[in-house]
Amino acid sequence: MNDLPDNELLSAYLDGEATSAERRQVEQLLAASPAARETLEQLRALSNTLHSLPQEKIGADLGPRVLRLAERRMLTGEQRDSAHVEDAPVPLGPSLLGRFTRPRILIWLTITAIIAVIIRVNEERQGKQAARAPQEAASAPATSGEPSEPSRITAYPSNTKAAKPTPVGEPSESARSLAQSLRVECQEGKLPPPKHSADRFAPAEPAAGAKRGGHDEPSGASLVRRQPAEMVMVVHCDVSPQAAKRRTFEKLLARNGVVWQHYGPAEAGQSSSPLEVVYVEAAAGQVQAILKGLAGQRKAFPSFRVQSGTPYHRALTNQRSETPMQRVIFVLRMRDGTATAASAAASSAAAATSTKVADPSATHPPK
Amino acid sequence: MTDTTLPSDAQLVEETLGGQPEAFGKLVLKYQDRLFNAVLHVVGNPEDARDMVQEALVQAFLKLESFQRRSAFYTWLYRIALNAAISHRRRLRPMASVEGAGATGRLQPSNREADPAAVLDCKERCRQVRQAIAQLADDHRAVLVLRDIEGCDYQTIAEILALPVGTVRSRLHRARLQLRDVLKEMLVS
Repeated sequence: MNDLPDNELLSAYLDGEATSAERRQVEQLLAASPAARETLEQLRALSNTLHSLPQEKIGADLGPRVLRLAERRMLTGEQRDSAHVEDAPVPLGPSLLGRFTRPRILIWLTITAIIAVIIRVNEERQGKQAARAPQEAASAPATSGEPSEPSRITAYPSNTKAAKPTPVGEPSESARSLAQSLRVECQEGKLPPPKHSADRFAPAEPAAGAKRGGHDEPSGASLVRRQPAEMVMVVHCDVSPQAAKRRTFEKLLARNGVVWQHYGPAEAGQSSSPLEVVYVEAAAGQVQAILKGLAGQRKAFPSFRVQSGTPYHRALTNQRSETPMQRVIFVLRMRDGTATAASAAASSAAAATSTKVADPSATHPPK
Repeated sequence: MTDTTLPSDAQLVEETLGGQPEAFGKLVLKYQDRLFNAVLHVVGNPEDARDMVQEALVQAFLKLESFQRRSAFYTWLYRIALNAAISHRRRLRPMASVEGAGATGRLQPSNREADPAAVLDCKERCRQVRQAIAQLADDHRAVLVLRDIEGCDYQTIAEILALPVGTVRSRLHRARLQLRDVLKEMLVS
């Protein structure tokens, strides 16, 4: 047995972690050595002192923030300051994203699924008629307050770098009206009420289910399972007034070679509106780059939130899934935006839609 | 009295993996303060500790599928947090090992110039104890915190820090002897 004070059996004895043989050894030592007894008492006093230290508390519930951060990282691949973390990269996949599929989100899923189905059905219905839209739109530009079919993008930004410009599809009348309704409901300060929205679009659901799945689907959630590549991702994003003025979001889209379409007042030059809805079709990589851009510009975009659990949300981070094109509706809200005369005027012009060429400088020259 | 209606950690993990992130929120609420208290004693700074706890929880959520269930959930969680905290601390400021702590191998008693009356004050005593803990080598400090502040048994400490139990035992004893020397005056009083 070692001499004191290096005899670690004293600590093990104190903690009840010594074996029975070790305990006997220690007890013999304690009986024979006053120094051993003194050391043991000192260690006991120390241990009691440490145990009696007050428990420090972190203060707030970290849960919501932790989940938000986790969700954001899944979507953007953002690696925070990960000097703190020594582990391997996070494996992304459907099972991980599936954790966000909670009942509240299912309501959104249902709404999103229905929106997407209506978009698809209408696009297919319009067929070749939509393909003629560019020429028609070029010859007859939309007038304010009078909805018209948006034109196919044929010009691409001069400042597009590596990203290949992606031609936007043909958003249908229904897509426009849905995006518009989303805009209006957000502007009223509420999320689309699930029941109301579901009722509004209910007639389209069985038809879409029959068309795409061969039989009626009872709910939007089952449509989601069946047609993961056909859904729309909704991104809610706060935009600082300065960024809105500078058209930072549009420039971000342009940098990534993405074309977009405004629903609402922006095309009428009323960029001071507190809320805009922007429709985008882009490749998965481009969407991911946009989300990274949002995450990387905290001043311009103080916060953004992706509609969790949407199939695109899933497809976005599932590299095995083949989703050549994704449809995204960005709901942009000025951070300190309030209902102003401008936005009121904007509402009257909100029905107008137009397609922007992915070069903001072409329509909104930087100051 | 134990509330048997509370779901176990294993249940909450399963629910999280099954698509209910709220379940993970319950785990966060259950362990965030304990984790914070432990990490605080390792990194020594509340802001860093809070940041690291949050990061550990995010990582735990993202990597939950890799949790093998061979150990308790909190063991796994502590492993993420404490290993990150130790790495963080090492990067910030290389700490002297216990063996190399000066020519005498002793740590310096903290705050010798403090008012003797204030030493009796509980806050002051806590501060001194924490200062003394902060002077320990990282690997010794982690073992001490897990045992004497968190109350983990040796086997759990060994799992959290991926060490043999024998190493845990020897590090703990040496850390205690170091602290005893620093705080001898306080312990006598």
